[in-house]
Amino acid sequence: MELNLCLGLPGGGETTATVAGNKRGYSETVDLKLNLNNEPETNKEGSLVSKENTSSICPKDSTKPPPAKAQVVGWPPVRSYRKNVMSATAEATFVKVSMDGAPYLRKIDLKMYKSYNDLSNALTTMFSSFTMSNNKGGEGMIDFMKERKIMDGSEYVPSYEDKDGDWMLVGDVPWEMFVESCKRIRIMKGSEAIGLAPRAMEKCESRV
Amino acid sequence: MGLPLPSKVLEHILSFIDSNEDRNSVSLVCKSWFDTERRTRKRVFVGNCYSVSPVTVSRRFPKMRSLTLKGKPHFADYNLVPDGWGGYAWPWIEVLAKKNPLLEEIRLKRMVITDECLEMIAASFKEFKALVLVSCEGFTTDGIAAIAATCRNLEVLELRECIVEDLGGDWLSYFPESLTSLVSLDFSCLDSEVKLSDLERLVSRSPNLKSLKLNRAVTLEGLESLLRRAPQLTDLGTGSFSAEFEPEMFSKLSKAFAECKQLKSLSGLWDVIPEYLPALYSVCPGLTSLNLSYATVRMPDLVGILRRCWKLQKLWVMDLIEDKGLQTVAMRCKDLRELRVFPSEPDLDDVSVALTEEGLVTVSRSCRKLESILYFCVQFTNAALVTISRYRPNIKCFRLCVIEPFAPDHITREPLDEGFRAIVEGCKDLRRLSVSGLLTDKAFEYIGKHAKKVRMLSIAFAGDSDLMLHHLLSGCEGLKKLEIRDCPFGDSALLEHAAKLETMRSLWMSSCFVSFGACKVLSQKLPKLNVEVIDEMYPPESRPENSPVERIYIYRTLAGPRLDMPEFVWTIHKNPEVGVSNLAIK
Repeated sequence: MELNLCLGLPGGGETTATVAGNKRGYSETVDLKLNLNNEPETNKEGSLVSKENTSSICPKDSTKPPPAKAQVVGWPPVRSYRKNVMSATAEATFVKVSMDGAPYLRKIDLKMYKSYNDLSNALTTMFSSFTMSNNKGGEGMIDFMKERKIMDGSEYVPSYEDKDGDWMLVGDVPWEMFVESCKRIRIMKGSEAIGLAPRAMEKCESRV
Repeated sequence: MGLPLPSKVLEHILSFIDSNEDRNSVSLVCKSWFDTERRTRKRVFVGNCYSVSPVTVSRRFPKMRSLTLKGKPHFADYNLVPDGWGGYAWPWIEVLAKKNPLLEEIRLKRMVITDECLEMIAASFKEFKALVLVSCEGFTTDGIAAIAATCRNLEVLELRECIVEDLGGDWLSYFPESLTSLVSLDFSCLDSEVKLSDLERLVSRSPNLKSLKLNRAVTLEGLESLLRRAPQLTDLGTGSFSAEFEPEMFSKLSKAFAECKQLKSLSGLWDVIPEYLPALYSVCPGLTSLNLSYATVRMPDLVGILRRCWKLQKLWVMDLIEDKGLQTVAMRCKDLRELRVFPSEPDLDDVSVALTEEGLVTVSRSCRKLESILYFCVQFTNAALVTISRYRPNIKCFRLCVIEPFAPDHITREPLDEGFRAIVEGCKDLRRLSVSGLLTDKAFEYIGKHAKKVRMLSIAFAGDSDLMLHHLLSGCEGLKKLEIRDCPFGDSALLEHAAKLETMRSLWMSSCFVSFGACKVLSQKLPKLNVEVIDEMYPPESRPENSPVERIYIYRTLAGPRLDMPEFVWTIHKNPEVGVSNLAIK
């Protein structure tokens, strides 16, 4: 489903909102948006950019379309030359990484890592401030990489969405295949990951 | 009363005065000083190509050797000025070709220049030495070929961030074998591959070559070969710094860099592969300027380079450097004067927060000479701004872009008024300021009260009312350029302080609430200004007078209305019969 927003600016407006992506139901449950501004937008006449506040995770069964983000012309003030250069570079393998309970997403370039270990270390560092205070979370991830067992509910497990839209456990397929097929990563609580493993195995087997 | 100075003596004295600001002051002393000064000025700067006519400039400065022109307003960089607005080089080149054939240097910024223009430059100025085009457009590589082929004494050819229609890499091959005078070549914004062997030969026969900036299409191998031929370079822009890692290539590259003992400035580094970065280690200790803002590598790799750059004065980098990387910069780069941190995610979507206000605070604390800052960041706090201003009262240029519009202090949730107050109160030499984040009218009261030396001010998504503009126009005495977008002020402050506009170079306002009627009033009251209403949606006359217009660009001019206005630009000269509206003028 698509959502079209039009911002009414004085004089007919020069900005329009982008269309919300066609997100699948599962993605909606895990999509944590950047939550920077808890304040309601000051209400100005003729309305300037207004971004919906999406600090909470959407309920699993939500049929509500994900909030659209408005794109503002010329903001942030980055020269088009620079934007063009960056988008040429970014075609590659940027994937979003979210972690249950963390207030923000990260975006990483998978091509910058050489192995699961490398990735795991980077993820641990990135989200270290948000893992459980008893530090089990970080270890839980690394353990998972090495031992390939599902952790109990207090640990974290990295999963990823592949090109087919299926959610798999990170670590099941050879690294290069993973880089090719990974579209986004979600570090989920162990309790939620239990359903994933069998599918991943089946899929791998069916590929062979 | 003293005897008047003989003009020969005055000429001699003036030959020691380079700064145009000083020369402008000299011109005001008396008629004979004006006359002597104008006959001796060699380097002419025109900050707004529409502020004066080419004929006037040409006539006033007959000995002109270098002309610098700026066209579109700054916000054109962010796509706020529609295509076709103006800024054409042709009228200038046409006049100069006839009247100032000894011209040697042309520098254009944000202007539209055609191949025809370039051909005319090549054909008309026999002593032509330097062409520098910054953020220009309208030409193809054929025009560049004309310059290369014809200008026998060419020293400088720099294309910086231009939009060029790239018809191929042949242009480079038009440099004749007899051309040996090149000092600086920058073709970093072109896409096509040039013939490496031609480039190698050009470099080999240019003993004075000091600055070489390659485009992305030049490979690592190509770079290595060129460096071997030009170890005297002081400024290098690499091509694409990436390839399958090969130890042999790495060692050749390292060796080539090690020979470049005079390298001071390094840029380019597109697509850089971290494994090749150590090849740069030998030049790091000598670098004073480093542009890593296109290098998409992680913080540890960036730190590997930066910790060796202890003489660095200018650093441009992306937010991939993170707070941690900036700690290294703070510790090692004690000579840092300018820091720019760009967002790796230019869109509003999903920005990483590994770079916070702490990074800038850390650098500000430790780098005593830091005076110029451009910082894109997801969040900021008043406390950080206060700290920065306390440690660095010497800041001259402060441009903070909090990426989220209306973002408050992320800890206290207050507006950033107090933080910017500290900046303008503490940094008494501040010349340029860009503000962002949640700001009320109060912030502008502080700016008006304290930012007396600020010449250029950029504002977006800020303020509550006309008060904000009132504070700025009544307070900022040194203000020359003001650009504002998406702020909620209307007509009254603008009309009240109309006279101020004659003391400024220009004022840009877009997506604010200024009405067409006010524009008409301003146009009537201040004939020395061009008041341009730039509205692509509706011709302003088609709507009621009190309706707000999309964009307004006001600038002082001696040249009167411009003759090259497109349809979507209105000035009062388009309908001179229109009378002043019934708006009350206080």
